[in-house]
Amino acid sequence: MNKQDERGKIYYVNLKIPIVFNGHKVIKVVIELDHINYGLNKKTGILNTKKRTNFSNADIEKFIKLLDGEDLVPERFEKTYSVFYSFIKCPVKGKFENKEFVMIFKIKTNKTEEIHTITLFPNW
Amino acid sequence: MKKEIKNSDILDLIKDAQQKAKKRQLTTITDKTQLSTEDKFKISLCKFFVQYLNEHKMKPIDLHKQTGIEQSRISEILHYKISKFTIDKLLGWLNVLSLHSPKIREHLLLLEGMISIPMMPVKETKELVKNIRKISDTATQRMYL
Repeated sequence: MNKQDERGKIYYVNLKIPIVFNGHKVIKVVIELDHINYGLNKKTGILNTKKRTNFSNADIEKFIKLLDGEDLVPERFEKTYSVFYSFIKCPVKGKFENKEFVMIFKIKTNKTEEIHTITLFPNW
Repeated sequence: MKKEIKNSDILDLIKDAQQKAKKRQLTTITDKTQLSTEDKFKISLCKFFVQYLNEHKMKPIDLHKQTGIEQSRISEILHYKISKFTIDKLLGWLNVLSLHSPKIREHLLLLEGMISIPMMPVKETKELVKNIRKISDTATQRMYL
């Protein structure tokens, strides 16, 4: 794989309690954990070497749970998926608690039971 | 593993999201349990617009063309910027939208009906709410099977 397309560890997590997002039951979350914690270098397009956050899969699940009962309009429509952006207040206890992040996630049109978190970055 | 989105695409998405975030043009996801009844009511009314758009796979500009509601207002409604408008304004826009959606029209009639029923004892009201939720859950499950 091209170095510019490496995104580190990706996890597939089954939610213990499903959530409903845009009227669809979501039971699975794809978490690009390294991408979330390191971010991409704007110039080179590769993962940064220094961590900006230190979230775990369980932490990201907490963010996802906040989407329960929400209805959002996609910011972008692609052929096979929709992309959503949102402000999200950090539900994880610690130094980022209640701080505002921007979450980017996508949902495939034929796989609405799965949310793919692309990234989560601080908005300050 | 096959990746549908490349890092360069992601950087584009991040740039786009950052621009919208700068203008505060994104929805804020937060714990809604602390909101006032008025705000919860407004959010529920905004949801009709969002659901309508998603159901018809429309863009906000299409909704503007269809209803004549100002584009900036549509963006505020779709992003739940509820401090920017009052419930009566929202209901007015919803009435305009209902001209294009029998589903919303019927739902508004249901709301009218609910508001005009006489006040009942707490126990009976709770029972009624419970039954409505049950029907609503069943309908949602059926809709998305």
